[in-house]
Amino acid sequence: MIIYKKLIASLLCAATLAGLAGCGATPQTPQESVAMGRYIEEAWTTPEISERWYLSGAHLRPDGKFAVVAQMNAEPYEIKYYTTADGTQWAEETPPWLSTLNGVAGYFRSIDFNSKGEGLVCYLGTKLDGSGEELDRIAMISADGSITDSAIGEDGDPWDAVSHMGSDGTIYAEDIEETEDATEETTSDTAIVESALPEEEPVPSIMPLFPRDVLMGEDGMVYLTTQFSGSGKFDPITGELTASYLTEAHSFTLAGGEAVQLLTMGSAERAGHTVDANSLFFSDAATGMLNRTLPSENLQIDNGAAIAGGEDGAVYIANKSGLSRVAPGGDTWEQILDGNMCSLSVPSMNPYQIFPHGEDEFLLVFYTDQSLRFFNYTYSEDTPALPDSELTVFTMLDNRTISQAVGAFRQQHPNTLVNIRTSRDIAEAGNGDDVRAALNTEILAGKGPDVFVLGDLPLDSYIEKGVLADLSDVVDSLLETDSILPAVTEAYANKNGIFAIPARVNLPTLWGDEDAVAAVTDLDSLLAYAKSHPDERLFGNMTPEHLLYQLAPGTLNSLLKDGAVDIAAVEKLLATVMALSETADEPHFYSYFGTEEYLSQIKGYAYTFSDGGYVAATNTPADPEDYFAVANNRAALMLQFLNGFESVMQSNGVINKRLGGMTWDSTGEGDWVSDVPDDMVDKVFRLFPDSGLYEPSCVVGVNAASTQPELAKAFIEAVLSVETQNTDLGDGFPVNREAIAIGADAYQSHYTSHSYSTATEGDPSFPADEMRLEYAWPSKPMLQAVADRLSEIKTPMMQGYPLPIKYAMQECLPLALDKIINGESTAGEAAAWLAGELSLALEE
Amino acid sequence: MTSLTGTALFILFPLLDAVKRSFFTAMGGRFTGLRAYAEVFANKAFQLAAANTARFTLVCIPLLFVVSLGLALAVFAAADKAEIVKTGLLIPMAIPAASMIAVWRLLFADSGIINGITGAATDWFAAPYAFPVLVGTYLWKNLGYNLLLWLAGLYGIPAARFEAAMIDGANGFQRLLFITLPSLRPQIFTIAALSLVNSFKVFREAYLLGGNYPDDNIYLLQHLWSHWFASLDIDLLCAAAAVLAIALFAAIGVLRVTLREAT
Repeated sequence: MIIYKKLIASLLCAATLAGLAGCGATPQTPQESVAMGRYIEEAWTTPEISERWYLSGAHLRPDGKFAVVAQMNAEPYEIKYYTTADGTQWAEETPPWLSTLNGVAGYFRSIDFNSKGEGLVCYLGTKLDGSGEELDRIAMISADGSITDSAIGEDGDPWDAVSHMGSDGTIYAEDIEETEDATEETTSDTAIVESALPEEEPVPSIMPLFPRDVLMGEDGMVYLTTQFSGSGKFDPITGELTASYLTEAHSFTLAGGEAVQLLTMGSAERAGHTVDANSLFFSDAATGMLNRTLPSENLQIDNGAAIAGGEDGAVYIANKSGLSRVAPGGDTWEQILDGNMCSLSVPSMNPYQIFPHGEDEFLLVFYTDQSLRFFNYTYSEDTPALPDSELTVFTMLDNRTISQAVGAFRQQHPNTLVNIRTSRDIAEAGNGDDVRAALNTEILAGKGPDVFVLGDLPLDSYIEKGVLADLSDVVDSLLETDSILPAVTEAYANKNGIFAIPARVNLPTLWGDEDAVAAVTDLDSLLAYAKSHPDERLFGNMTPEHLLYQLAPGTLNSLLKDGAVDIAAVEKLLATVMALSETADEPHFYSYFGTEEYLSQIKGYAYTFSDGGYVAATNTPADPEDYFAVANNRAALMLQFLNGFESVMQSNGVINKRLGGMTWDSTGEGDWVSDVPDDMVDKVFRLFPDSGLYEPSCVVGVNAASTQPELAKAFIEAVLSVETQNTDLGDGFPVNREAIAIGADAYQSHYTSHSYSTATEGDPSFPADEMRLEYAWPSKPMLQAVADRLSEIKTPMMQGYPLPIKYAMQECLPLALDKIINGESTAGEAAAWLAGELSLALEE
Repeated sequence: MTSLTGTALFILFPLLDAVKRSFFTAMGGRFTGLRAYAEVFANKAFQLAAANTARFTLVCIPLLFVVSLGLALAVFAAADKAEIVKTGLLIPMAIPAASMIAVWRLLFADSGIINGITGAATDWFAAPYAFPVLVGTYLWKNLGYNLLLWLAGLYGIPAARFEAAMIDGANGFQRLLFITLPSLRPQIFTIAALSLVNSFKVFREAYLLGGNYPDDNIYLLQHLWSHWFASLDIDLLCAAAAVLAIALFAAIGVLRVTLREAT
């Protein structure tokens, strides 16, 4: 009996050992069982167009060619027409309808043809003979190329007035008629905004219908959907609405005799059916009667999608997760193209249109950089369904630059799948500590990702322990061609090599009064300026908490010395903050920003110092009081972290208002512009402090244990390439020189870039004319001035800070300040307390 | 044989691997000799953590011994009448640490129940109260378990011995000193060893109460190890672990020899 027990025990042991051994084995897949077949992406060219031109109106013609419209966004708003058969070359054409349209169209919206060659064009302008108001109009194109007005909306909005802008720029609600007093405000639900435009300047009269999709049906009818009015089928001859569809839907297409609409947000109710976002509605195209709905939550449609109907009646949908298809009458989506294996997953690429064509081919039109790009997908049976190699990239949080780089990398390495792993993939329910522990376990086991995005990871430890590979060969080739800012190559380098590179940088800048900007270069000069100008308010918000929030990032590097807290430096920072605060009579210029109502909205101050991988909270102004104060000449200065050329808009708008406000530019696009005079651009802002400090973002490195180091380094090159870096994703300026030059030379029309901020009405200290800040795309001299500052960067923020110290310093600085504010400690005592709090972490 | 295999696989081999890692760099495997040990002993954070851990152990174990033995004797004397007491003392073992900490926060927070009753604004998670709170937590958590072990030993003492002693005129204290305690010698070793091991588990409560960097008085070795792991200082971590293992083995060895000699 004992022998049997021993035998069973031994067998159990052996089975356990065999099982453990088997767990570590990698299953070998026979070559014959590899799945074959996938779509291959091919980037098409685009017509060469000049600045101030943009592409729109992509469509598939009955002759099988693809066509696109290009229009100037300035006088005389000329339209051009281009076609291509295969995307390699575009030819400019001048069909008969084009010249007629060029005389009347102020703004081209869309164009579409059916298989018989009948088409329509939607534009903002007068009738074709030049008469009538400037409205959103639909003109019909016959098979012979002639163009005639349709009766749709010829007297105005087909659904009655939706919204329109009066001759003085004031926007009126749909149920309020324009009155003689053009500046009258109402409280209608549709936002009424009093224009800040001076009365003497002319403003074009336009009546936008905001059409979304305008399609030419095979039945000769016009299928029109709008953003606000409704969706329906119109007879172009009578202008009569013959069928009505869902109003709230985002996209519209026709498939198999049905009108298919996509609802991306909110909910909708129709014919007793109520559905939430991420659903498709199928209606009878002829009658508008609802046939069915198809909830599609698994497709994650809420992040933007395009839909199209195929000739077979199938419906296609393209979004960030990929391209999917549902069969006619079906209710199951089939993914035919994985977003991770094509440009659909790239952040800057927004799917706009889908054109199934040929045999199993698709053309996807993306909206990106205010223009269109075309990618064609062809099915290849001989290509493995999955790429034969995989590169793993780890980033703690989703990173737009990395996702963008995947697109650039894929162009060079189409047979490599880039797998982006985030903290959710490493430790699903854990916090940052759990994620780092799990990641370190992988690293110690000799595994781990091929590429790291080192935000929120112990970068200095990784460099010290040899976790990161030397990137000197990558950097050397970039420096040889002067492709990259040299400063970023020195950020995380030592005598043994270069181990990490910030792919983006944020700039701490000071904006405001010319004299103040010239005088203030650091904390000492800031305090000196404040004391020497007692009658001048320094910042809008002069509370010590806000000042610390604004000024601490620029001093962090000096707070740590030789591995210990520099108590004197901390004391100086705290004392300076308190002294600055005391130079102001009132902590807030606009008292509303000190009320509980406002403070409860911002819920305190959040320090998030970007050490790569994600956008820092410092880029999001937690308190707009400083902006309004500087813009309205109530304070001299404001601090802003710039995180890309687009972020310059707001500061530019502040200075523009300070210097007089928007001006009318009749030579350019004939509109309002917010340019700072060219001779002022270098005087109204500077880097602060002026030591060349910058905030690194998206810091990337390669795992020294990676089994495919060359591919990993190629990915780093893709991250630093102009293709990735020339897109402003809001997570920092590019470090690629060519991308910087492109950014500094970029142009956006005022019409598309114009935006504004409005302060609350709840503060009597806020006069009405100070409550609105308008801004638009900065001038090129301004952008170039900012680009020049990028060349001045030297030292990354928090260089040498171990990860725990970064968090501890964030947490303890405000607490130390609180001790002073509450009278518990002097600045020196508070600094000593802070040093004590951090001592243990430093001693480790 | 089976248990030896399991012990070797899941305990002995990992221990030997950790000791091995203490002599090499974290990545790259370059031999560094005793450098890690030198760094560990010179590290002020380690000195603080080791001192706190030792202090905690030296305070808690005797305290736990005395209190749990006293309670066990009382429960033993009360026999069936003390069932509810026994059950009540076992409940802390079943409560998850996170739940217990939630209650502790209610009690000891700045605006907690205790401060509310006393009217004071005491920071119970900072010096000088953090250590006693942690000791109290440890005692509360482990009292019931030790009570069971003592009771098992007490029930194993033949009643005839006590009867014989009473006939000889021994009073209660004398019976305790000359019969009960010597008879409990096997339990003393077991309870001492288990209490020593359990004293290291208090890190959970210390972490949940004080976070990554608690008050200096309750900064324990496990805090340091957790931070060293996060920064990949594996060699230092393994060296410190090896030092602790040697200290524990030594302590248990001394205990064993002492108790055997006393027998």
